[in-house]
Formats: sequence, C-alpha cells, structure tokens
Amino acid sequence: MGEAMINIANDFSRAPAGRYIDDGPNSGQRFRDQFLVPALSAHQHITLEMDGTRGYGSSFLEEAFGGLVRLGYAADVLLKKFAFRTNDPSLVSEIHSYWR
Amino acid sequence: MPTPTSYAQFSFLFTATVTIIGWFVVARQTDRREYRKEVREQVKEVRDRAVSVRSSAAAYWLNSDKKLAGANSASLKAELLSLSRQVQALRLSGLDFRSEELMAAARGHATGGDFDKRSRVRSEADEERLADIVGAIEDLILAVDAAFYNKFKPHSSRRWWQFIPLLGTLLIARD
Repeated sequence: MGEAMINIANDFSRAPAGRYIDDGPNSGQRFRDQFLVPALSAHQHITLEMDGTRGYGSSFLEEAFGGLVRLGYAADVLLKKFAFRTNDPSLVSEIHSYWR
Repeated sequence: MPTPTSYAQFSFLFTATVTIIGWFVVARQTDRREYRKEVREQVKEVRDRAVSVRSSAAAYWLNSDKKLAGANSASLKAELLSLSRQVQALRLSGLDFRSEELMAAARGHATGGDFDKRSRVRSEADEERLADIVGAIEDLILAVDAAFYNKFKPHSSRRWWQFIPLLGTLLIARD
C-alpha cells in the first residue's frame, strides 16, 4: 500500500483512443480495467503522468475515469487517491467533473 | 542684485522630480504597450486555432467515410491539444477567465459520446453535436476577449498619472 506512478504515454499508449475495448487496443475501458482498478486495489496514492500523449478524447477520459464511479468507487475516495501531473489543467478539471 | 525667492531656488527640483517620474511613467507605458501587443497576438492565435478545431470537428463528425475517421480523429485531438496549450499560455500571460472549465466543455462536446467508436455511423445527431461544439468554442472565444479587454482597458479609461510626462514636458519648456 504505497504510491503508484502511472505514466500513460510510457506504460499504456501514446495514442489513447476510444471508449470500449471493441473500439481499439488503447481504449478507456482497457486503461481503467488494466491500470486504474488494479492500482486502486494495491495502492493508497496514485500519481498519473498525463503528458506525452497525442491528446485525449473525452470518450476515453469518461470511460476510464467516470467508469470508476460506475464500478462503485466513491468520488471522495477517488479525489483523495489520485494526483495528476499535466501541463493541461483542463484535463484534471474534466476528470474531476466525472467524479462529482 | 535681487535675491531669488525660495521657490525660484528650488523650482528646478520640482521640474527634475516631475521629469524623472514622467520618465518612469513613459517607460511603464511602453512596456505595457509591448506586453499588450504580445497578448493580442496570443489571442489571435487562440482564435485561429479555435477555427481549426471547428473545421476538424466538422471533418470528423460530418464525414461518413470510415477510412478517414482515424486521421480526422487524430487531427481533432491534436488541434484540441494545441488549443488547450495556447489557452493555458494566455492564463500564464495574466488573462483571468474560466479557461479550464471552458476548455473541458469544448473538448467534451468535440470528443465525447461515441467519438472514436469503431462502429459509429453518421446520424442527424452529429449536426446537433456540431452546433454544440461551435457554441462551446464561441463561449471560449468570448471569455478570452472579455478577459483581454478587462486587463487592457480602452483609452477612455486613462489614469491621471499617465499625464505626468506631459506636465514634465511643459515645465521643461517653461524653464
């Protein structure tokens, strides 16, 4: 139960795209199920490095992060556990909007 | 030989002080004018980029050719990424507006729903979505313009101290 660091560009894909696994290999659903959910189970704090990709679609962000709420994670827990590193604060604003 | 009055003795100090303050005011005004030009250029770049986002969004959502979907999607995401960076740069330049919220709204409309969905088919709802995207982009541009004119007031609201250089010039001319 320590800290986890996930660099989306290095650990997942430089081209995250799509909502569901059917939409492609770099979908929000796959990122949520293979990275976010295991990290939430194993770590107290998770830092996400979001820079370095070719941009995010809201469909990806909504499924990856909004999907956590649909899986039953409480919004206040998610807000406490996740920290974001990015040069684009609007991404954090958008992700937080899915948790409120 | 008449003795000069105390005013005449020290009047040069007053003139010198006003001249020095005037110099600072002129230097400050020059800096501010240059700064205004730079920020105005940044605002123009944001406007141009916003137009590109609108075009890329139309290309993605109104095109029914699946072969082009991947390229159009990548192009739209790249345009949004650039717009987001330019908007962030405006904030760093001192313009105060709801940049994060407005940028998130624009991205949400442009790339939400079934964006990047492999089985997506063109529908009438796409035209409504495009109208939402245009609205969100216009909101962003409006907020940028309002922030610009809030920071750089029009000439009608000049401050009194901006006339100090003129007073200094008049005093020098009189002496």
